[in-house]
Amino acid sequence: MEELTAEVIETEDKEALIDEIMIRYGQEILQLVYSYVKNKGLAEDLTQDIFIKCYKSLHTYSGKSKLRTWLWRIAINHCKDYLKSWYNRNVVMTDEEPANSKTKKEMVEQVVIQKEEDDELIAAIMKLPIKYREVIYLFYYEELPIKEIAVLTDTGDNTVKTRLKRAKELLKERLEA
Amino acid sequence: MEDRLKNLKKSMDRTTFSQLKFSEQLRKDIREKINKQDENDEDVLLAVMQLLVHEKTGFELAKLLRGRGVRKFEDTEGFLYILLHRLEQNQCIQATWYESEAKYYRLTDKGKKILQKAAKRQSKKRFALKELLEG
Repeated sequence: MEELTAEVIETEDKEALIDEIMIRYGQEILQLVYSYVKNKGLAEDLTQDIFIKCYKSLHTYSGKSKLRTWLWRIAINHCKDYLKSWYNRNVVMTDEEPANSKTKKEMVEQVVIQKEEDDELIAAIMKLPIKYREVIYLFYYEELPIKEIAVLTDTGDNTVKTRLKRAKELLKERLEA
Repeated sequence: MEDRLKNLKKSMDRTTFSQLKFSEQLRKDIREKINKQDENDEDVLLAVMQLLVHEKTGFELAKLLRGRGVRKFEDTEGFLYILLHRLEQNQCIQATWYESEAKYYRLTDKGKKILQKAAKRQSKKRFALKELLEG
């Protein structure tokens, strides 16, 4: 995907810019947020906050990192702040959706098995503690390089590698038990 | 494990994310919120004052604000009490402790006057309330 460059930032039209950013990155940010909060409605709400935050801090974007990286960092920090917040720890969400909403009847056996394995894997990933879940998501779903993940999560390359390794061990334990 | 993880993108797109769409509507909502952003602080203050026409605890107030769609204090309840404290110092609201219960806040006459003024000229409310925010 093409990177938005710093020059674009200099255009006067901040609103057009935020629109462009949303069109390009909206979907991936929404999914990223979901991977943290595991709830569709909540993910949509937080995504809104994130783009509003992004709009408000556009002037602080220095152009040193890629705009996408900058946005992702805002998103990740926002999710983590939310998860730590009083509201999250004390208010119980009631509309947790089941991961799999389609009926299995119409599906061919092989597909069902494949799908069940997938569901099982995804469910296991979603149950991992945040620090392991995020590296798995960023590495395997977004296919980002270790270096980039280190920047996004405010850690070092080695920490990311260790967490990836540990995360895979945890998944293995849970899935093959 | 490695092989299964390699297919993660495909399987998550097919299942978990199939219902998750960054829709046109969502984008519009965000645009709208951004546009409203400037008025937001004043709106919140106005909402607080309207709600305190009848006596309430801070907790009740927070709940009702959320009901009105004010999300400002959701993760930062502390700010609500800072605002209440400031209003109290400006004598727009008064607080009462009831025995062994919580602290109740209520709009004073001065507060009511300001609220009326603000409601009357909605469009200019920013000026009527600005001094309070900065006071």
